[in-house]
Amino acid sequence: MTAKKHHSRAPGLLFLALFLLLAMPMPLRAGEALVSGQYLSSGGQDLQLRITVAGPAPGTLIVIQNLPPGMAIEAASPAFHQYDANKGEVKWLLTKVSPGSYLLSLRLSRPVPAGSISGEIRYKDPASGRLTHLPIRP
Amino acid sequence: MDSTKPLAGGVPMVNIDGARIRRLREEKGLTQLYVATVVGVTTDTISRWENRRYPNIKKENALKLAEALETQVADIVDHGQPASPTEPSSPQNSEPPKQDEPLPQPPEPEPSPALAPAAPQAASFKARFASFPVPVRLAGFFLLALAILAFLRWYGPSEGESQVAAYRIVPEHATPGIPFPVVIEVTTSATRPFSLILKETLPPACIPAQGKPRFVSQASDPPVLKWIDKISGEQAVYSYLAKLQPETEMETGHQFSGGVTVRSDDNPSIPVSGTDSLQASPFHWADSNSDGRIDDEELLSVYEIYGGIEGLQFGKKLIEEIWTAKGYRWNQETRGYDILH
Repeated sequence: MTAKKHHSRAPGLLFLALFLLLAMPMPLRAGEALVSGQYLSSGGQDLQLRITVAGPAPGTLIVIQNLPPGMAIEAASPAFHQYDANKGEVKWLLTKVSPGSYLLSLRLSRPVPAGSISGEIRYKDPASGRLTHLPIRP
Repeated sequence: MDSTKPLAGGVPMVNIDGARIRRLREEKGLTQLYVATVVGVTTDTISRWENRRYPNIKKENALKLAEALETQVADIVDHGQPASPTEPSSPQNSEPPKQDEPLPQPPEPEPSPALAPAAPQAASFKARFASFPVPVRLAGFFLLALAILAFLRWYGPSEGESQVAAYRIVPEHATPGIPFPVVIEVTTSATRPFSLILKETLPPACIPAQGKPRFVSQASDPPVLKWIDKISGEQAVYSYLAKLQPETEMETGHQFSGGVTVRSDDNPSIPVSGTDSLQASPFHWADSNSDGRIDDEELLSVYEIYGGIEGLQFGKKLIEEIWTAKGYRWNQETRGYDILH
């Protein structure tokens, strides 16, 4: 009886072992944060932010800096692509981005209180193709 | 001795060495299909050239043949043998003028005679298998299925085999007269370099422009573009600009088609998948949702797809201008976009 039971279990166990072997997922590389942004100076007349890009990098980034509406900009480095003074929205378009750090700075016509501004990085995730909105850390 | 001689009609002809052509082709591992596709003739014609049934061919074809065989024309010319009485260059034996006949399919394999004696053995195995209890038979089926799966998983597409796929990216719409980009990505699992021919047929209303890398324009009605290339990596990107003729009617659909021929593959052609149609529209091709503006996502998509192609002039200045503006509108009179600030 016992022997018979063992005999009938053998194919099942073999099937289970093979199934587990086949169903075992392939090792995947965990995706790390591709892009990050941080303010080096978030108040006063001069604002500075650093964008860090890791590989595999998205090829293009849009960096958005929100300022108090009506604020005038005296200088920018690099030059921004769009500024809507009514909304206080500055947009940079960074193309042909490669892994590394990028510094963006603005000189405003009047100082702003520290921590009163916000910004965002927008890019297409290279793996999923989805639009990603990433806030710039203070 | 000069092996080039004009026909009565003035077409320069070349006396070719069929045996040498076959040897060169086999040495380089090229199929008759590959050579036929490069030259623009059928595999039957290549076979006839190799077997000296057409000892004289057009000089133009001899040049293409030499290109396909990666050699010089001098290497395939029969220097010592003029058209002999046994192989006269009569119209019957000369190369036929019609070259655009469809490529023949490879013949179906003959059934192997070795299968015949196996029938009684199979019957005996069947009878023995039927005598087993049902759970054992079921387990047998499972094991067989698993063995097949395991075989496919570990021994399926081996490294050396060329698994080729081609994918086309075309905008959903484009304005007549405004250039739009088309990208064809060819991916492969092959580890060794191999040659391929990519053939792209555009809609008749399309005018091709810049190609990256450069294409060979083969025909104009409809336009046919051809790339002959050697792939050494996992992916190769072929791109071009095209525009719909300015008089193209709005809201009409236009079809693209294409195929890849690989030299180490006997399949006639691997069709290009992906987008194959485009609509004539007053909206810019980068404005994918046709809302009269180019938003951040649309701009990023454009740069992700086309921005990495060095030298492709897909009109980024206009796209950025529209992106930074409030919108745009097609002006039928000026045949340009009015930017709305």
